[in-house]
Amino acid sequence: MLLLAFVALFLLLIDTYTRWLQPVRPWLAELTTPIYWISSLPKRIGELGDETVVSRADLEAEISRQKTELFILKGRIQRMAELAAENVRLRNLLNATELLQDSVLVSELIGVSPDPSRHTIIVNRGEDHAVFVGQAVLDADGLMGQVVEVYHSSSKVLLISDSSHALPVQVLRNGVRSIAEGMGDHKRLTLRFVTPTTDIKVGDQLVSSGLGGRYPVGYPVGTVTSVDMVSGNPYLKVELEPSARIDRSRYVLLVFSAIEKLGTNPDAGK
Amino acid sequence: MPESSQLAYLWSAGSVVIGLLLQLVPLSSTMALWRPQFILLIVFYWMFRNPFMHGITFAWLSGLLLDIFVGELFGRHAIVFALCAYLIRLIQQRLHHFGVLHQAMLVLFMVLVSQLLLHSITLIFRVGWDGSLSVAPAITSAILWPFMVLVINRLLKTQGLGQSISSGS
Repeated sequence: MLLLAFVALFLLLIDTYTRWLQPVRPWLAELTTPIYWISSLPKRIGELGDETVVSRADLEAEISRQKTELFILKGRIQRMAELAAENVRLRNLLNATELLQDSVLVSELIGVSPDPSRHTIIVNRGEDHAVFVGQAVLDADGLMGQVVEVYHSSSKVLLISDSSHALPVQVLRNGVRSIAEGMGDHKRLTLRFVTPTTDIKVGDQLVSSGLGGRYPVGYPVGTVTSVDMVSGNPYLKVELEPSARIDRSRYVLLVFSAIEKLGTNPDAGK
Repeated sequence: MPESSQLAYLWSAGSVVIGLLLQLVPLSSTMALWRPQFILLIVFYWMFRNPFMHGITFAWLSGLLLDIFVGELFGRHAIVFALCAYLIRLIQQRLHHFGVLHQAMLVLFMVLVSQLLLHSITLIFRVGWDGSLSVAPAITSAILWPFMVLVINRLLKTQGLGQSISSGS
């Protein structure tokens, strides 16, 4: 008993204070990925059932809804193209560098952390698909997290709602910069050190500012839900609701930032 | 021993893997808070059933397996499960007289102890961690216990493993 306890304690210590266990992790991930895949089977089967057994009326409603959505989005894209062209033109006038387009890789969620206090997920892309540590992860609605560990064919993503996570953001309306921190709650983030004179209101949209060099610029992070002055506290208490559906999204996008590509190709940008 | 040891070890390993799968099934964040400690329950089952074959080492190995899957702070679950197994070992002589409800009460407290230990170990080793301690898994584990005992007893009987643990009160 004592021996086993000491071995476990020793493991804990070397895992916390050294990096000796780092080479073991990818190897262990090879082992754990299939089990994670099996554990997500009930959910998959449920979804398969939902997809296979659908009434004709539901399908028709779905199709017409998607057609409308497509129509609206197409309309918006037309304006987007025009705006992008105008943006490039204006930036040229200002002699500013061109904005670069990011490319993405679609990936599927295969596991979530069994520890409810730790917000990590496992996705089915890894080293084989050129995923790298620090890569930003999105879902259809906004920023979701970043890759923290890469294995051969899967990788671990730390979500922005984890209590150890923070990301630089700015208010879309006026460009005020801040840091959004996770609180261990999928539905809430908080802004730290916002002075009472800062121009920030409920309903403000926050986007990633790209400062810190980890996340790409301009992806939606969240919407401000409350701004409170707590007496005795020199800073405002600001909470936001993440735009991404952090605990529900099944498919995520891994972003290959254009800046990263510039970094690997020295000729680009000359 | 009335049951063959190889068969018992095979089934105990199998049940731990099934416990692991249940532990890993993706749930929504509120549901995950209420998830019973499946692996610890299965470890307790085997310790109650046959304390001479399944002891602290078995608990330790199961904990290490869970650690591999949780993937951070290796050895965290291993040390906690081993300590819980040690506590069970201490009252092993009395366990034979426990009815299923009595066992469930014991399970409630043991899972609570494991939660406390896990929480304190994480607080020590993970700097800046501010997770909250949840009592919910202990409650759901205790509720699940009688049903689990019943199901595993039935299942093992069909597989030719005779001696089982008390499922009456």
